[in-house]
Amino acid sequence: MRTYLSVVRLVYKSNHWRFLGIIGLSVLVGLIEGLLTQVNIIVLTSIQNIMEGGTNYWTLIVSFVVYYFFAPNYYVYLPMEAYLKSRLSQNLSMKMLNDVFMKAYALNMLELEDTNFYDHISKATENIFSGRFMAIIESIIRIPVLFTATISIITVLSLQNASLIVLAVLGMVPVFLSRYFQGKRFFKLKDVQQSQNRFLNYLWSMFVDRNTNRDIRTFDTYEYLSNKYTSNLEQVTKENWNYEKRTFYINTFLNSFRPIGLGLGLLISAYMVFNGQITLAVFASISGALSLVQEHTDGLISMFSNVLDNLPFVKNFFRYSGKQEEPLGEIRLEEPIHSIEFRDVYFRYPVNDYETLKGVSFVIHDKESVALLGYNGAGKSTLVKLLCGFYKPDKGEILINGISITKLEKNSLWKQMSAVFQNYTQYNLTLRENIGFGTVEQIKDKERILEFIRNNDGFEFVDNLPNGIDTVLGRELGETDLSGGQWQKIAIGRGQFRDYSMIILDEPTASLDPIAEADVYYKFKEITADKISLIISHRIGSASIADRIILLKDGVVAENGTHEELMSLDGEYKALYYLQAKWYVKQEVKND
Amino acid sequence: MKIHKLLEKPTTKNYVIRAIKYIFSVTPALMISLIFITVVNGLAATVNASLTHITLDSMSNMLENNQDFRFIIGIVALMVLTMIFFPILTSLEGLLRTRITQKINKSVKADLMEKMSKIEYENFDDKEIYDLSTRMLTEVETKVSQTVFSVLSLLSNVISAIGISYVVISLAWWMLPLSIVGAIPMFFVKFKSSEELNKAEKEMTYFNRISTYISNIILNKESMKEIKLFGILDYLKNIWRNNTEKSFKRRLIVESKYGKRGALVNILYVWVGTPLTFINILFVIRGTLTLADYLVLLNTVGTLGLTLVHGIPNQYGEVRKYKLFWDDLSVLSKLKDVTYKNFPGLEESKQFEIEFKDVYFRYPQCEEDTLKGITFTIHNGERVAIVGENGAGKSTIIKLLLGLYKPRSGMVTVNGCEVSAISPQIRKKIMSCVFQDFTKYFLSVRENIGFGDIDQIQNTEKIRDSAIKGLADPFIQKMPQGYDTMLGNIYGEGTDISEGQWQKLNISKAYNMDSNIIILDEPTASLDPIAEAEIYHTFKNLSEEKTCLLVSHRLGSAQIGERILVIQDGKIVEDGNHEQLLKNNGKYATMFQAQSKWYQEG
Repeated sequence: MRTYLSVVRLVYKSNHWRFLGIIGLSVLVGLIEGLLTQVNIIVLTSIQNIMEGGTNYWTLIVSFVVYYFFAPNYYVYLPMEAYLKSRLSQNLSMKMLNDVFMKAYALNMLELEDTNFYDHISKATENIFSGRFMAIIESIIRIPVLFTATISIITVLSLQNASLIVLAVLGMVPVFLSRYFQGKRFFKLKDVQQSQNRFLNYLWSMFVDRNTNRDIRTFDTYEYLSNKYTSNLEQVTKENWNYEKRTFYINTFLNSFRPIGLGLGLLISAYMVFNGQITLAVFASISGALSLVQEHTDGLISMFSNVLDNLPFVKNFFRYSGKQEEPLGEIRLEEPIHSIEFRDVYFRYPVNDYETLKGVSFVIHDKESVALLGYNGAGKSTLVKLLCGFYKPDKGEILINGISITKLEKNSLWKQMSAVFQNYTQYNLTLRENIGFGTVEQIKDKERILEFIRNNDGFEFVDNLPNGIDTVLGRELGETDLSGGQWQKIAIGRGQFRDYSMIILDEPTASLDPIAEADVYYKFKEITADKISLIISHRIGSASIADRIILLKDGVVAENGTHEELMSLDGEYKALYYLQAKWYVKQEVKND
Repeated sequence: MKIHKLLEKPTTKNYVIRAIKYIFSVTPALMISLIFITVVNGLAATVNASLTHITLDSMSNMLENNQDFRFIIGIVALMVLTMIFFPILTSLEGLLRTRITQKINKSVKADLMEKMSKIEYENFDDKEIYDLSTRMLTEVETKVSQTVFSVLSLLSNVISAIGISYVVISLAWWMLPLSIVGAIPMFFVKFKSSEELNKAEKEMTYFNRISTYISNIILNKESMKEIKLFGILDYLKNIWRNNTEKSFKRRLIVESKYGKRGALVNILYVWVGTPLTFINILFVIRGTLTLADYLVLLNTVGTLGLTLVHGIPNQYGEVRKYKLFWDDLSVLSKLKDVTYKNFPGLEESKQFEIEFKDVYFRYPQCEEDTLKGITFTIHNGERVAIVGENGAGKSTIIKLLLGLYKPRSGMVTVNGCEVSAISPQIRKKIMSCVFQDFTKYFLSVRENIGFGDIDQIQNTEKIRDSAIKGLADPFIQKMPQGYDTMLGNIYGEGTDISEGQWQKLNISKAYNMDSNIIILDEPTASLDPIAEAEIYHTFKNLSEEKTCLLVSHRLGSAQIGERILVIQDGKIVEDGNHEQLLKNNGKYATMFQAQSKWYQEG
């Protein structure tokens, strides 16, 4: 129930006046139905009266005119309902998705690492555009109409004989109860099925997506995957079918009670005619009204059970939007970054039982460039994320300009930083946006971006783009797809199109060919002059362009010094260096 | 009965007939039952009207002729029975519909999966086809079945209208033509609105695609880093909001236009129709029409009106809604399938020779050739490295070698057989490939490795063996269900692994392949130096007796190959071994020096 009210509140918040207007309109439509019922009785009664020789002409004419005026009631309402539904649900879904975005942004980034998180998000968002919320919206529009109509008609009926209503309504109770209890079973089934369906969709997408389809052809996995799909589908289908069958039997049994109630109502009214208590005309109106009530309560119940069926899924959204947000920090960073210190930093990913960083300590001084090396999984990327303030250390401290990073206001910190991440994003937007994101406030400044491209090499390919910097890039939405190397240059450009005092380059040359790669490393000095910088690379050889090298191993800093210092240490670094160097250099002396 | 494939060339332009034929071919018995029930259900309104008529008539008689009340009881009982019976039919209708949809779901998906695997691969590069498949391939089974179901609902409404008309005629024949004529404007309104809505749908797809794309970026943990650092959340949200609003507006314009028109037409219908009712009242007063008849007339004209003005046009609109889907399906079914040839003796060969003869190739919708006259031969047992700048065409060569694309001119052959005509079953036995942009399958570890040799996917020993060679076994052993651990988060609780670990799985997959020709497309981009060195070391041993093609940036490792091909601008510019090319002082030498500089002492 609480969830339902939350949805209603949400709808109200996204649609103030429209919401009230719709409720008002629905209530009006419902009341008019009651009015029409009463007027109908009057019309019929006066007809009968006139037939029997009476002179109620005026009553007839007036009541008929009233009837005439209000008759289009439902006919007008129906076409408008579709429009209203669309309007409401559109606004609501936009608000909800907006909330989902804001929440994802505000959450602790560790949550995003959680495999279950995507489960939550997909469950929360899947339903926004699906029928589930629509069902609830529909109920918001329909329930006032049906409810008011029912009440007003019942009121009219009660003027004739109270027992009629009781009978009509009593018949509904078993159905009502059964739907309520079924709701719980339904949800359990559907929740499991949601995961199964997602899995099915995933398998299905393999046939549709370009890359996975390529795999199917190259590895000849067509039969295997289609069989996997089919057998999973069969299982889901079977469970569904059993559920549907059970529901059918239960509903059939319970639905029989209702007509019996109606039948009794009719008999009572017929008996009243028989006794002369009411006229035939009134009887006819009563029976008409009774079946209308039946129809409406039917509608109400199915609406109600529809809502019940879908509410639990909607709950997923509220559960997600109720998650706690990460505080952004209070102390603003007003000056450029001139010192970075990791003091005995420990960090563990919640999903692991071991610590990734086990007491990392080092200092980066003003205007220094540091190369961070280490094996895969040693913790380099984790370190970067901690440095950016995306994660909080479990133990120890990270100090930027002497201030603990947890206390720093993040936006002011990020304004001083730039980065080229390992898994940079290839935005299927214009080239201008891809680069302009570096300083998003200047994104409209076409000249500035053009100048930037002119002053940096590697962007020759821009001349070949159909729309210059306004070409939409990428395979998904774009007109032109770019090679890995071209994308990487753009990512580096983005990092450059910014005023920063600290820059992080995480494997910035993975997709580049040797010449372009060398260019980047040459530019590295340019990029990092007068700035504090961190570069992560697997190209051991290139580490020597940095002022200092930090080698991470097993979660701690194993070696820390200049290239010459580390070579003379005759340790890990030297070994790694020669491991790669041997491809390129004929070795005189080799100590293995 | 011949199963009618969804994607066969359509025999009729009328999509409704196609839909009906298809469903009949899959589940004839259920369809016939459904049709029968729908028809009977269509008579519900008529039966109710007739019973009401009898009830009211007998009540009049009862008053005038003192008829037995027990007769009334009987009639009412009969009414109650019909009120129980017809809803049961409706439930049954719903049940059958569900079952039919379930049944065709299986065959629809099977047909589509097959088609998607059989069409020429270059279709996946085609923007329009991509658009189409995104648009069309959701809830396919519902679209197919609903096409037919809405026709059935339409039929039911029509039967209902006919039945009621019969009752109306028997009471006041002239009411009928008037009712029908009055309903015609609504038909037009509904007709035009569904046509326009269909058109709107198509346009909306474009905006929706952008919104969904942006939405996926925002909700992605990788891009979130950039979003926070560069502060671009608001910018992205604006794009999303603009496109979503445009999409919504597009639809709303149509709905509001026709909502207003519909309401107007309906008001007219009622305000013109109601005075006619008044005329009937006069007849009653004059005595030409009994009160009972008048009451029934009122009821039935009302029901008829609703059916004509709301029920039938709505169902008609529903049917029209699916036209776009079937149009898309036609386009899809007209796409050509790949044809394979039989090459006797190829499968059993032990020696392989790869030849590219003057190959030109251009990606669909591209203005320039990516490959401009590539010619080379790789002899049996040779190890060849292909190097070059990004975009030069290296990966394209691999794709052509795998038969994914056909050259625009020239030929790609293995032992003289045209590669694109070799069936996948045979080709996978001859060649295996490790892709740079490999797929991370969110399935089990076994499947990720086992796809390298699909016929042996249950052979755990072989898979474990490959994993040992690919340096993946150590971390797999630590996983909760070992080789059957599910990766990723698609199905509830999965296990996440790092980039490097994914890469090792990928390479393990390569070792699982038994073919004589091995192709590696930049396989070690994310590996640390030690792992990288180990991979190449083991690979060197593995490819002792095999023919091997390696695409790489790491010129150091290109030296594994006895022969190096340098590609530039879609052409082969150098061909030789490492020493020769260094002496040549050409492109290769330049690139090599650029990388080796870092390792020169001093």
